[in-house]
Amino acid sequence: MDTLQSLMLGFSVVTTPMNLFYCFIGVLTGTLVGVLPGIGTAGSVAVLLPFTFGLPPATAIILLAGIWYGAMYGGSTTSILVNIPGESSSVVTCLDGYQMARQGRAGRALGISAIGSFIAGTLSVCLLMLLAPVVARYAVKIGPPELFALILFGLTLSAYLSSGPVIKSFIMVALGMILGTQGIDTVSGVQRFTFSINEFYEGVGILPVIMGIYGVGEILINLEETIKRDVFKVSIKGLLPDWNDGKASFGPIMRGTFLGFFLGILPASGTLISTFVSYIVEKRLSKHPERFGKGAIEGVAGPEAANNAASSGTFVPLLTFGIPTTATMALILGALLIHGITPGPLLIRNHPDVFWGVIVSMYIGNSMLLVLNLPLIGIWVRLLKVPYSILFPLILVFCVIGVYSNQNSLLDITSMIFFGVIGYLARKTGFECAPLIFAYILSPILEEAFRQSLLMSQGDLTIFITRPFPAVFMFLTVLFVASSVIFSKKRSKLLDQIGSADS
Amino acid sequence: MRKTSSFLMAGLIMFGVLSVNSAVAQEKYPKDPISIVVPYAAGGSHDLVARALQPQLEKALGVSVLVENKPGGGSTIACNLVKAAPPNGYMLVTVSPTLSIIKYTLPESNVTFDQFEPVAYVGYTPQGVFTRMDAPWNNLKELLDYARANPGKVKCGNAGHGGNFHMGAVGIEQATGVKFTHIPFKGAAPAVPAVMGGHVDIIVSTIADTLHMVKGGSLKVLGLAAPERNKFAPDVQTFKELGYDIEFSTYWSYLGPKGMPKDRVKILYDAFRKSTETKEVKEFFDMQGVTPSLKSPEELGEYYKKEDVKWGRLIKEGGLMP
Repeated sequence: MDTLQSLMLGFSVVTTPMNLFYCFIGVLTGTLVGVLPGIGTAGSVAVLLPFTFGLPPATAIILLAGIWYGAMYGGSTTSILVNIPGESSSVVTCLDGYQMARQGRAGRALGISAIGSFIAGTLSVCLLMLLAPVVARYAVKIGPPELFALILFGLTLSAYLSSGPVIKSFIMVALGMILGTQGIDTVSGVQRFTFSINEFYEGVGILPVIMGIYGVGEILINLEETIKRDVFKVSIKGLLPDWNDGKASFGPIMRGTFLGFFLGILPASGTLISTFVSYIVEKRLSKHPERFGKGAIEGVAGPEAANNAASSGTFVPLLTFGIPTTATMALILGALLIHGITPGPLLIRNHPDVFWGVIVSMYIGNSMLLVLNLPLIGIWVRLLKVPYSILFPLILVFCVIGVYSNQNSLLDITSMIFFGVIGYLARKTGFECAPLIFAYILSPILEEAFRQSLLMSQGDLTIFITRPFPAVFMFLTVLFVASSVIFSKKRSKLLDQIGSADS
Repeated sequence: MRKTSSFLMAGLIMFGVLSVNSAVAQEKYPKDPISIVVPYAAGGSHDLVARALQPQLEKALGVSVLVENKPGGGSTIACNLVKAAPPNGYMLVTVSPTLSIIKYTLPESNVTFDQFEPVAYVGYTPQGVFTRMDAPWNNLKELLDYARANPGKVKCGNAGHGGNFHMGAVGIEQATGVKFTHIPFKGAAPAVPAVMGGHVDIIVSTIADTLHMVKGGSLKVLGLAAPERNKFAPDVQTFKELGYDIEFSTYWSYLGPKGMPKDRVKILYDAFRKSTETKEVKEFFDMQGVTPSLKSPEELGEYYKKEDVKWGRLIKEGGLMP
């Protein structure tokens, strides 16, 4: 009853013309930011932040939040159409989304990602509303040992990210881990792989790596593949997902929603990890894992739901404790503070109009995004008819602007081109880059969590098995590795079958 | 003949250019936009303070003021950029104690405070010790008594080895004789849930960074490393009250490249002073937990000299040299 009253209050806040207008501006900007590769939410929110100082607090947060979750919708578009992630959180969508587009199913891929995002966005806002205070209390119980066990488990699953040979994906995981160590070590202050270049003190950023490998790499490979473009000329009828697509995607969307929301809450997680985990889970659960990487709709629906749900999840630590877990959340925290609003357990009591207004604006914003995105699909798909000679230079320009504007650093552009060449070579030699990215994000967290745990326990390794949560995940990891070894023969036989079925 | 005249001409032109130049230097400043380089990403406290000052500085100076973010490299990238800029008063950098610390911890970055011309110091926020709400200690004395009786038992989270907060914790150890177990996190954000969840017992942070969590009822502050009580947390003890004369803070100071003309420094300082006296900036400082405090260029130069001695000793004694 109380919730209902609060929701009514929220609705009364949002349904003023001004708040509806700013909500729309927010999600529209978010969609654009998402579609344009390299241009990230944090940068766009930072630009708009001073502008929001003059707005009422609820309106300001409604606008900024709109950019954040709106970008999760837009990001998939570029991934699906040109195999270049519009946001780093839509890297995984490239794997199957682009393959779907090549098979003439671009509209369906775009449709399912919009619908999946809508369902996940709406459900996760419900979760945020109902569970935020409870969940946040448990989320802080996840400390370094718990994080270590979780991530170790995650890394052992990374082989599933690739549809090629396991050995190649392990090599990419190793490369990603090495790359992840670059910079000044948080725990000891030692410089690693910085080559005496000041810009590398904090490591080469995630953006140059992703935009290089996926953006520049994709453009380079397309320079030689222009002839193959005929595949897109297959009819692009059936813009919207049909019944079968819907049936296949329902499970992944639901699982992606819950996974994404809970991973979004964890410190040091963010939206990107949730998409990888969702993809791995779907591939593991699928009866036909061999379809993944070749245009499986589950591989689009799950991760796209996950990143939207995670974007709601990141609001939990922010609103309940004032802890920002991503750069964009830090900016939204700044906006709250500037308006004299203190996030924390007392936020809901002290500023019900802001809390419930923002929650309700997220329902409405998600509906706006669906209405905005579904009719746009036709236009986006037609974008594929633009000749590559025009489209790709444009994309390259956006990649360069986006990467540069993130830190105003020329070295970031150089790094992006360097990783572009790496991405190109990897494609030519049959190495897949998703495991590299996954390891690059996870390994620094893994290493830090491991060393923090040992500092906590004064060097006692049993900290990982005496606490219940890490113990469960350590057990699962051992079980998983053991079962892989035992069943490896079976697996290679299966791979042979798949291989022969392919050819 | 021809040669001499062309020499003469060249000389005349040179003279003309030089005199025009010096005339401009004395004539009008500022006439072009002035940029303030922020060594951190947008949204951080140095960025927000610079952006709050920006419109007031524009009013006071009559030219536009640009806030540019040059993050990365532990603030060495922005410092190196401004250090090498022409000392004409058109480019400033806003820095925190990091400038004094990296001289010792990152000597190859080649950034030291004496490469800069102090312009203004507008405010600070004291460092303090923070803990979770249900922690057994309610004030500084209780914590220090416990830590003294149980050396190495108190786990202290910080925002990265060799960073400002780690240094503050080491400074507390050196002054009080207690021994913490330091647990570094990547930045201040992940250290906060760790202390709330009880994975570390205390964290060192600042009032400005954590005021909203203290007000929001999710953290409590045990004591501040400041010479006097802070207006945002007036009932919190200082180390000085217990007899430990330590001062660690994050502050907002503005520097230009070495060799800026004195009159330009004065124009800039006056603009900063006027800006901090406006209602807008005062309100902003209150909201962000920034304690206003003004230092003139001379005072700031002296302050940096003292800071250098303080950090040099702390880092050497603490064995934190690379």
